[in-house]
Amino acid sequence: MGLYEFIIFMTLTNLMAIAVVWDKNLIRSAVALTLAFIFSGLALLSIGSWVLGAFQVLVGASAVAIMAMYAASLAVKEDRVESRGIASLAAAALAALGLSLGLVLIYTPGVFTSYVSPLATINNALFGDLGLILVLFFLLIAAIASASYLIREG
Amino acid sequence: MELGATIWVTLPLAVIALYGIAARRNIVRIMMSLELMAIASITVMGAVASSWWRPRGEVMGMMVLVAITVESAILIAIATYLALRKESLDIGG
Repeated sequence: MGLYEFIIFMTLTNLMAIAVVWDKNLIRSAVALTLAFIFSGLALLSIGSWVLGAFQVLVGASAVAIMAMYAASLAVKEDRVESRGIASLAAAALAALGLSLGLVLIYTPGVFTSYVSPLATINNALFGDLGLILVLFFLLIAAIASASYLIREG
Repeated sequence: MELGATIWVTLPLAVIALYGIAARRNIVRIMMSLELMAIASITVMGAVASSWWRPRGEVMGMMVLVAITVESAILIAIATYLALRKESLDIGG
């Protein structure tokens, strides 16, 4: 796999992006956002960046898009498009799909192309000289604390 | 692998996301467009890492992923606040 597969997956991602911006139904837009995360993760996998691709499917399609779907379901009340039961069912199905696909991808490193993500270098950058993992940890904790403060005080 | 083609095929994604940020008034749709912009930047970083054999591009992509996770957490808080207080998710008047 290589450049042509990357182009095919990114074309699908662009089509999903059009649906995200122009579709009138916010739930359908959130589903399209989830598919955009999955297709772009597959595009990254096809060119050998399997660590980033697997993380994109795991974190993007599972966590971020499901949060966007929750926020979209808040707006459904005013649009009166679909019931919340359908939205939660779709969110659960997409979360299961994203998690299973990401777990499959993360355990099959480097079988598609000549470039393989060198784990030693990535590990060194995250845990070693840059100490990025600590910064990311505190960033996430601060975001969760500020979000809960905003909801409680609002 | 050729880097130019990957950037050209990713560029429409950034343009669509930019249009969504500029033209939409619904806060959820604006933040979804921001996430599309993050997808575009992550894809370019992964393509650069693959083309130039520089794994630090993947590390930077992971940082962008954490950034959009933070943005999603704030999105939930803002959307819940607006839905409870203003009963509308539109901004800017």
